[in-house]
Amino acid sequence: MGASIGIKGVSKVFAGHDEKGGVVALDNINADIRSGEFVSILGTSGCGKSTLLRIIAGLDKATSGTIFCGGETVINPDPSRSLVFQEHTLFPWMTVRDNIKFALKSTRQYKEKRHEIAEWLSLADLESFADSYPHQLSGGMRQRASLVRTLAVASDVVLLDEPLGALDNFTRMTLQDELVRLWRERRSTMVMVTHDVDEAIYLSQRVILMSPRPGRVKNILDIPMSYPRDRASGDFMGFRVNILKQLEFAKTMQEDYTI
Amino acid sequence: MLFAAFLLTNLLPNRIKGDSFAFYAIVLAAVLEAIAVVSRKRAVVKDLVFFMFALLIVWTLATSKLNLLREFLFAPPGKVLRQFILDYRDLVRHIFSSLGLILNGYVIALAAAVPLGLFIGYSMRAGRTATLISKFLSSIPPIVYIPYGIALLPTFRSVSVMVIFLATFWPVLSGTIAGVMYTERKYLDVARNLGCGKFRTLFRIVLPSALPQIFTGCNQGLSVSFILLTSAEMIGARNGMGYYVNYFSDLGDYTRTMVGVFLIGIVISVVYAAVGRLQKFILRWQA
Ligand SMILES: Nc1ncnc2c1ncn2[C@@H]1O[C@H](COP(=O)(O)OP(=O)(O)OP(=O)(O)O)[C@@H](O)[C@H]1O
Ligand SMILES: [Mg+2]
Repeated sequence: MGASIGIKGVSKVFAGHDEKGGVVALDNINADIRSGEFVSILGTSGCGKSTLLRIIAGLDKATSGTIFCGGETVINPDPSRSLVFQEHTLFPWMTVRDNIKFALKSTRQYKEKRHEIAEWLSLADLESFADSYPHQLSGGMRQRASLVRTLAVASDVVLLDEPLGALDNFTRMTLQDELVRLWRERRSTMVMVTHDVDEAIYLSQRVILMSPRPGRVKNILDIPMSYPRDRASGDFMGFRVNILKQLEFAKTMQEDYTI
Repeated sequence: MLFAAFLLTNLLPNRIKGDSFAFYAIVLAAVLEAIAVVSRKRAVVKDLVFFMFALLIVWTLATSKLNLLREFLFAPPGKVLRQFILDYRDLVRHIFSSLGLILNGYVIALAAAVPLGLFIGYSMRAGRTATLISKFLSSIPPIVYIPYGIALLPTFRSVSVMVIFLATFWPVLSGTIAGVMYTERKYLDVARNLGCGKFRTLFRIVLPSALPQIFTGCNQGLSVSFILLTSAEMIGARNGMGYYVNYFSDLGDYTRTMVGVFLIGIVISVVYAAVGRLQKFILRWQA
């Protein structure tokens, strides 16, 4: 069962290059994510989504405020809060298989989970590229490989930073279903950044809407629909209209959403 | 086609009295032609053979046929080739002597520089300073240490090893430090996220990502080592390829001098090719 995450008054200021002062990437973010919940974060480019995930992961320190995970203050990164990075982070000197193996060995799960590697490879549709190096893969293949490398490691909290951003719509929908299945199977807490309104509605129980400069929480929306969800249902459309309205800059969002 | 041209050149009348060695050159040409025929598909080999034919033709013309160059200094190809074959045993001994010294100094230098560079680049804030220092020290041509080496060390061999060591140590050290310091942050972040320990991060992440720069340092060290070693052998050795060249040019035996010059070229090229292959294999993950 996943851990709860408390985000209490988190702000992040990046020091600027000159005296003008830095960039306020996050300004007093507050949110409580329940244990085992699936939450999406929606917001325009540059509103601090990645920054927030990195702080939750413990990779960066907040300028002020605190992150709690399972009631404990987050100070350092920990394999129990695994992060799928926005950019591809496969180690170029390891094959796809070795990348997954490395993740499992690093978290001491290799013995019990080595037989699952084949399943992860097939989930990512990369069986025939298992022994290829990352530079031999396409951008989308790398993203899938990055994703399964992180998912292969069982952790209480999974943080996903636009994990399906580089994929075509069909692959994307297939993997969305896999994410739902995995989440329900493991009951881990999932926090996913996305630019895709439909994806947020399809996957998550709640959507955190963020606004940019400075990054703030604009609203938090409940999506009380049962799983598996129907992308064509009336409720679904209702949520979609609602979110696009709330975002005001609906036009930009629609552009993003057709990636 | 050039093979035929070469044969024709050999039919031209000799200007020098009796180049009775043309036979060897023709055999070599035949072997080259055979290689070209066998490796029909590899353009590089073909081009190389082409170049060598051109060289042989010009060389033959310039020496035995037209005698444009001074006969005393420049022997015709067949004669050089024959000397190669006659001196075969000696040459092998000299090659091993030279390569032995290189290997000795080189291996010691790598064994010292890589771990030290990893340690400095990874664990200390002093990385930048250390890079500057090792850049400065690697910019000093190690040949200037020879007087100290001679004063401090008992034998020619130990001086050579020391010079090769110094020629390799600094570039490899600065390459390693730079490679470690410029490990991409995202890979370190993944390692931290996975809870990798210091050692695991060092050996599985930092070291592989630093390898390209380490190899650059190694290659720089290797080429400087060869230059230094052959020069040093020409001055003070009893053995080695540089010694061979110097000894026979002192004796006025320019056929053997040419043998030595070609030998050095061939040996160094082969070593580079082998090292290059190895590195390419190790770095096969690079785009
Ligand atoms: N390491 C950094 N140093 C300085 N500024 C940074 C750094 N990382 C992020 N920022 C700034 O913080 C702001 C938020 O960046 P962040 O990467 O979190 O945005 P994002 O919401 O993830 O955007 P996108 O959707 O494009 O990925 C940006 O203005 C960016 O310039
Ligand atoms: Mg981002």
